[in-house]
Amino acid sequence: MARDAAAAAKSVQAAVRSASHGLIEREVLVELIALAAIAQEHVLVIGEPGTAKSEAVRRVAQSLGGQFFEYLLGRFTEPSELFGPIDLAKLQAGRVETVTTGMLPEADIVFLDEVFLGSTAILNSLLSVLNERRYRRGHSLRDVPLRVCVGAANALPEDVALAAFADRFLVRVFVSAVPDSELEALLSAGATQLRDDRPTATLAELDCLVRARQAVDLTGVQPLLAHAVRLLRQCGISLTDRRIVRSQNLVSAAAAISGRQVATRQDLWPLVYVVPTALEQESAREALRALLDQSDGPLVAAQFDASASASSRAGRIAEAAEALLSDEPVNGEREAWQLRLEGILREMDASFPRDALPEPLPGLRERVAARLA
Amino acid sequence: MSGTRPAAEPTQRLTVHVAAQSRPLTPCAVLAIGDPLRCTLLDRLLRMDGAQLARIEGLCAKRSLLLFAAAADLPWVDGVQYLGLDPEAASLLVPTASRANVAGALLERAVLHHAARCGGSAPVQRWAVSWSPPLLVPAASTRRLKPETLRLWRRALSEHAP
Repeated sequence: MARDAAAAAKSVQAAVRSASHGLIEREVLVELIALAAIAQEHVLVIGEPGTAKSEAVRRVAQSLGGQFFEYLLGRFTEPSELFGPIDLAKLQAGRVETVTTGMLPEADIVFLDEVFLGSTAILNSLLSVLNERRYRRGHSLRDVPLRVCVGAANALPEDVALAAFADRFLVRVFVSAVPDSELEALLSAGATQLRDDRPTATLAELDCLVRARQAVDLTGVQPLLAHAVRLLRQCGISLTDRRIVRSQNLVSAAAAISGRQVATRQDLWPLVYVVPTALEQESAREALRALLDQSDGPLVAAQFDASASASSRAGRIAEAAEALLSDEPVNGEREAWQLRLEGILREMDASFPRDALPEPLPGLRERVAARLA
Repeated sequence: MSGTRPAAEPTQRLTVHVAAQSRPLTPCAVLAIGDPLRCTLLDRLLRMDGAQLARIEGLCAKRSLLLFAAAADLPWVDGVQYLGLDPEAASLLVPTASRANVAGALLERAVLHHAARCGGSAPVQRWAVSWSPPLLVPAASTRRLKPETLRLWRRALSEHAP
């Protein structure tokens, strides 16, 4: 089983990389969607319209080969638009059942834009889908294959009732428009629409990782998690008991995708994404900086974003440098390749004081600089 | 009461220590200090294609060369320092990978006070800060970089060389 889980982890890691390819500044979101799917939790994305939220979710669904359902909710959205129309034939026989073909109850990955605009009827039905993976409506009662639901909104709800619904989305991601420094990359990626959208992993592999996650031993990290929650409380960041307990699902998911059967301090980084607001997440990163500075695993972008640990940052730069060094052009395009090498050196020198470069960057810096000479 | 004036307050000094930045700033400038490094950086700029050069502004001060551009357009040579905007002090460009042990606003006030004492600096002027070697560079009067300007600066530095 361990061997299957290791193979499944590699496959899902490849699916995440494939889904991220060509997306600018959305790698964190893609990785967290995959992590939430393994943890059997859901994701709430807060950001302006047009920030590639639905594209990120769609790509994860494609990479995992899952059935994808997407809908933009409005104040007047009827439940049938999400869950399917009433089965008229059954209604004539006196039973209220829903035809769910192609609708949310049959989807593996769901994206609901403007999720808080849904009516009470919709939100109530969604609650049982999110919490229990069961769909109830009239006489319809069925298990749903949902792996992860991603809800999106422009802002967190202020209404207390909606806040309670929002609390069901354990992972919170805040996205903003692409920064100035990445505009050229965004335009280039947008112009180049070619992408292999064949699945890179399967839902069976995802489910294998879910089973591996359920078997992860958390006893060693529970004291550290409790310490982390206390540190957050000292900063005025309060997590509901539900979020504290369920954050363990994300920690065990981080261990499972890293191939670990015992969760360690390296897997605590998802706790930052359990913190409810953007401002509090910034404070959480500072408060937990020492605790998270050994974060390690294959979801490099999200780890780096959560921990901003020197080792995560160094790992990311090292990975990019090695990939570039092994891709030296034989003829032509050497100048463009050297410009990219310069970019790596610039990132190294801008990220770390020269006398405090973490391993393996010192040796790597010399190798890269030598290729520029 | 005697006619003596009250004793002047002793000058309070605060030693600035520097440590690694937990989240590096986004670079928007690069600073080269000293003639050899400035020459190397100018040579690099002279090899750059026109389109990229057109996106860089700079100034050549007494001991330093300071360039401004988007992060992806900033050149690299060994020994330069990358600077970013201090989020607590809008007038200061500070090394992206290090932070001082004093609040940005306090540092900014000290720099602007120092500038005013040196004479002539407008309060809103931007300053580039280097911790090592310690240096303040007034970041005013930048200009678009043209090859002829770069060659002029290069020649001036060569003429100063021992």
